[in-house]
Amino acid sequence: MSIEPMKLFFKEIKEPIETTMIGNYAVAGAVTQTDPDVICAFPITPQTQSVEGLSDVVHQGRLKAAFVNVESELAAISYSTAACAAGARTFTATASQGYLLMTEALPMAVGWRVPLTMMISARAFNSPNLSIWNSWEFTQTNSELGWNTLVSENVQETYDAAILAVMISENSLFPTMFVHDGFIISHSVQKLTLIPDEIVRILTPKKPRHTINTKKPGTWGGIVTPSFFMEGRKGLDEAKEPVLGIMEKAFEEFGNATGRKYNLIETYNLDNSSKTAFLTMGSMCGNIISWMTKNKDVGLIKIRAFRPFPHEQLQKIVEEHNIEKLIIFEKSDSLNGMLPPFSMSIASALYPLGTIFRSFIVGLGGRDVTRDEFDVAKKKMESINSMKGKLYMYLGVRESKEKIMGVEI
Amino acid sequence: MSQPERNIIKLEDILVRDGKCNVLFFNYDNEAFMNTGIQESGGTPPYASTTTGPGGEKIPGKIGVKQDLVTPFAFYGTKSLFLATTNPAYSNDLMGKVADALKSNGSAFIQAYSDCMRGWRHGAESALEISKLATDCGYWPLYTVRVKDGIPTFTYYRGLDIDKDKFIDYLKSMGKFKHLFKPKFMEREIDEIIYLTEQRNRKLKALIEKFGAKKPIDVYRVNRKSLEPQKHIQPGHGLCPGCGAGMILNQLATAAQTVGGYNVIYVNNTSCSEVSTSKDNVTSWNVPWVHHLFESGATVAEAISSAYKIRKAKGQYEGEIPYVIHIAGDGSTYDIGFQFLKAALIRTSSFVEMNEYLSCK
Repeated sequence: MSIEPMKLFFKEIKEPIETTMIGNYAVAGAVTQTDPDVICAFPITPQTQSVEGLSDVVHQGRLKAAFVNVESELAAISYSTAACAAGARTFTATASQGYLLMTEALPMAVGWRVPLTMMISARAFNSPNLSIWNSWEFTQTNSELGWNTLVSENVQETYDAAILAVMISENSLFPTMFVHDGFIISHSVQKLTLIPDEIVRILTPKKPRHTINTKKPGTWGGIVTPSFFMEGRKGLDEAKEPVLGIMEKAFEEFGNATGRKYNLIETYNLDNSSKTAFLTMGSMCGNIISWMTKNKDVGLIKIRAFRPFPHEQLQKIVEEHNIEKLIIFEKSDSLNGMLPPFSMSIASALYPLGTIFRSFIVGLGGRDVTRDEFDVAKKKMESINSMKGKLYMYLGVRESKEKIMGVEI
Repeated sequence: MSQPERNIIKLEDILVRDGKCNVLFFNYDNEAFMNTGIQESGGTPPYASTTTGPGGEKIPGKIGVKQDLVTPFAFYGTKSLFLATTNPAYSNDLMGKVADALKSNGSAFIQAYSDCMRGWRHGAESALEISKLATDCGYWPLYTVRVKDGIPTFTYYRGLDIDKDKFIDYLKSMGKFKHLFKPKFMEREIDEIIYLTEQRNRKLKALIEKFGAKKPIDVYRVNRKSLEPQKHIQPGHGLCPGCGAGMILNQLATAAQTVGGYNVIYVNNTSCSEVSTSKDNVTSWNVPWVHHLFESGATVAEAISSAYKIRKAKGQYEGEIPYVIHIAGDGSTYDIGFQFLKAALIRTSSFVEMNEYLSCK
């Protein structure tokens, strides 16, 4: 039995095909087109169809690859890292608790410089309850371990990101994860245009690289004493420096080949009368843009590359457009910190500019982010003129049966 | 009852066989977390003193059992699996089993008795003597299980009978059991160690009775003079003098080199053999050697093997698929790495078929 939406990928795609499908199958299709050698994952909602789709193309004989079902996410990431280090183009996928369980092995993938790619269907961590729905767990932990991270707004972007991630990983020799909002994108049927196989092949050649092999024996991951460890870390830091440039180049090549241009940061209507802009990433952006048709006095800054964080590019954008106030929308919180994690990156980047901002925590555990909330945030921001006081607030939380926090106007 | 028959297995005969193991999982069992400082593990025998279960005045060492790691694997219903216990004091048996495992289809798990002079509290010079005593007193029987389509076939070499005098000598030879003898003779606890070992051996004998080969005694014939000295791992590593793991690595590598030449990749869980053999970018290994995490080695070894197979099937790799050997010890098979070991062992035991599907035999 074949999975219906995957059928498109069983035949050679010769011309761009306009179609509709959910984010997870779109990713499965794009990954198929990049010709992975090993696919290894452990199922977790809302990531599942991506690997289901891939098992279909492998088991039906469309894609020649080792599709391996393992016993946990820690095994999945260990397997994927090692297979990739042994020369195989490798894909894995996870979310939420699975991402936490992978934590122990995530730094090794970076340290070994493996061009591994991973899809994340962003989902909340269990606390205080289980939620299978969307939050930005990937910002809350592990974001300083060195994985490149792309965030997608819609199905087209996540399909493209699956291919871009391979390009970026191969060229930077760092693992890349690409994220879409769980359910909102992973399970939404949206329109997208598929790229011809030949173009994907040209964009994602398998390049020679150092692998675990018996012709050139070496050791991987042995112990080092304090005399050597820091050199290794600094070496990695230096190797990360060109990565944003590599990403920009990948976006450019991809744009030339497909006509879809991306950037590390994308902007809308920044030269507006209030000198204010929303700043966020992921699926909320589309909603904000459509709301902006009636709110032309604010702009939007959308982060596409979350790691490495494009801090210089953000500074440049804010400076060039004289943005004075930022309304940060973020689907994660920080129970101990001054700011939630996405906002922390922005605060550090904008520290030299002194831009005024507030962070609005919205949409946790899959709650809808409504246009009312954009109205409220915009209105609240009008009276804020300093960085004193509490810098974040939750929006759209139920206070009582009748009242939703922050949303009454 | 007639005398059980011996099955002589010559190394030369093993070497000409067609079979090839997907991954050999090799556990050197030093019966505690030694690399972190002699902490109790699932492999620690009852009443042994460790740094997290010392032989105290109130509680005399480990309360619990030494887990049986090998026998249960015989009953998971695997397709093709080679299981064995070994002891470096019986080196022909160890090397024969390694070669046999590497030349068997499916996958393999070998557990080796691995003396730890530092953790077991005895002089380095008595390591080999104690190792030999372990099998001779019945504490460490040497047996093999070959599983085919879910049915195990048991054979043994020696060490199934308890010799009580030797057993007492064995316990007395190590500081980790000293508290059982002084200041007072703790008869109940000593009896229990022997009793539990006897029960384990009773179970093994019953399994041999029920699932035994026609010729139940396996004797490996290995002419050591004919073997090239191994060059996989060079001397100069930091293992303790008399370390069982050191003896085992030497024998393991001799057999592996005889079978696979230099086309062998080793994966090491975090352990003594890991921290001691490759340090500060200076390595004792002449063949590729990989360390990932404390627990993940079995999965990593499987992944490397599979990556080579699929790459060969896709025309990305031209050479012979390397032999992959996973080395673990220090509780990383009994405890933290068990889930990985169990899953990888069972998966790869079915890979005769998977290799066919991937057209990469």
